[in-house]
Amino acid sequence: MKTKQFFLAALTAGLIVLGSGTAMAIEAKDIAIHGFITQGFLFSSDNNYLSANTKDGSFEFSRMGLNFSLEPYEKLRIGIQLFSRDLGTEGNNDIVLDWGYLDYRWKDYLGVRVGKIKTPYGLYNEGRDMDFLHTSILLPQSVYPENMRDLLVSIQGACLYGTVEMGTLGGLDYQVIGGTENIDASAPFYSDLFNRATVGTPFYGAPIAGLTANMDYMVGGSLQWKTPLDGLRLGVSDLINKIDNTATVGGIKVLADMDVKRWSVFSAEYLRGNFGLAGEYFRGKIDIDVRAPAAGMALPIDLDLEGYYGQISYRFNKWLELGTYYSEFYPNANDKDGNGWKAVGQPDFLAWQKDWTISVRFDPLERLVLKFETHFIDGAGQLTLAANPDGLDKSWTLYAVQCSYNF
Amino acid sequence: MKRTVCLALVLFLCLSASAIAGELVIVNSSVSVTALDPDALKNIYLGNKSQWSDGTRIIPVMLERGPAHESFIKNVVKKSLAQFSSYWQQAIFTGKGQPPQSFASEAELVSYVAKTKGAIGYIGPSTAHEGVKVIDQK
Repeated sequence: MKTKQFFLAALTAGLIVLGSGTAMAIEAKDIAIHGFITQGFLFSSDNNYLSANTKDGSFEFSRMGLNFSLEPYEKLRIGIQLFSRDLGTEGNNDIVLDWGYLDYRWKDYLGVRVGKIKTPYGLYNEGRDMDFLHTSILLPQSVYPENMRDLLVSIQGACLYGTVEMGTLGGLDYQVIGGTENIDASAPFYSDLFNRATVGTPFYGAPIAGLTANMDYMVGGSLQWKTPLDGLRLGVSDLINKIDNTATVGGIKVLADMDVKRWSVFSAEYLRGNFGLAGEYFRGKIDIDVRAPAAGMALPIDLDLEGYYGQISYRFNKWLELGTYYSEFYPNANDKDGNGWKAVGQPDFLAWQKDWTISVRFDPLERLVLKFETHFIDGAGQLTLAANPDGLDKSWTLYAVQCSYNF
Repeated sequence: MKRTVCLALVLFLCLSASAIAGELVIVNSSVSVTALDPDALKNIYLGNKSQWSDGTRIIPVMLERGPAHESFIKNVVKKSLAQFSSYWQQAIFTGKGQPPQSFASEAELVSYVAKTKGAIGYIGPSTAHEGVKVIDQK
């Protein structure tokens, strides 16, 4: 459904519910309304960051959200969040449904959500778009890549969830999800991913047209252990999915069946007072079966992605917090030195992206957040090749400033 | 040296565990419990425990600010004020829940708990609390 049509339908449904009679006496005061606005600025010394023209400085870096939620019956919650984002040529402030679901919590240890749900992945994926939840502007890209956000951020389906208390052993929070997601294959990041995946094959570098993507299914889960040590939580999450792609590559019809066999994250976070420490390790494995029947071509592509980071943060007082993290990402863990890229005449540093970030967060007023951040980056493993037609630099710096307000 | 470090660690953990907040935990008279352990209280205020043992819904309420609020969040919920706020902001903006209702004054909080079945709250030790039941923190 087109975004604007959905918005009008949701608004109409909401008004009908509000205006209905005593059969379901919901009043406006029963509906909780919250929202946020985030606007940032990106500037890079070299290399355009993703699809934004950051070499010249870019304000195309914003997010907004508005949500409504209601608890019409005990144990049953209904809510939706409308969302828009802009990052270069991605998003363009189109209003989309970020999440919208029915949530029935039968017991503390068992509940069910149905609808469009944020994907539980790692420590911070579900809240990745809410700037005020983090010290940094950009989450560590090794585990939370912006260039894959749209593939990871949500799922349309169902989720079983709950909290299991284990007394002196702490507690477990679990979520098990299943469903699918719409993929915008016309987005620049998707064709860039396709291009990167084909390096070393006859398809690499050929013009791609008419790319389509259909996700057959996605299943996954998250398990977090709130340990007996206050402030320490450990977690593991995994996703698997299957995506069928078609495209015309160099004038040849190509089919690519993508099988994401694992998208695992192992997490640890320790919060004590004003001090925070976190680290996560990511491993992804994708098997792609590429076929060009008309050309009699068929070849398998195996991708093994790896990433990890460690971060520290400290809140000095009500209005000042500092943080730093070091992150490494390898699009192909079997070629960390970039020999595959050199073999096709491309720079080896496309094989990695190492990022040391320093963040300063100010909370000058309640709900108003202002951040400044510098990324010292080595490599271009997550950059959009099409956005850098003049070539890439190995060592570069990305500066970011961002302001947000939530209510 | 190793023994000294171990003893210091044990002492530190004991002191941490014994830092009981000075606030009073109050409940509506309909609530049958007479005592709650710290983990149960923490889970109530983090939305992880939503029902009393008889299946009645737990309705936690809190103060907007003040010494009793800061002490309770730090010593019982085991979070800083910023972390607690962030925790509930994440719940709000992922659709998973709404924070406990907050009150500007302890008197308003006491009044709400007194008239609301299943409600639980906290106040300073010298605050008047007619109409509610005080429960022990184990």
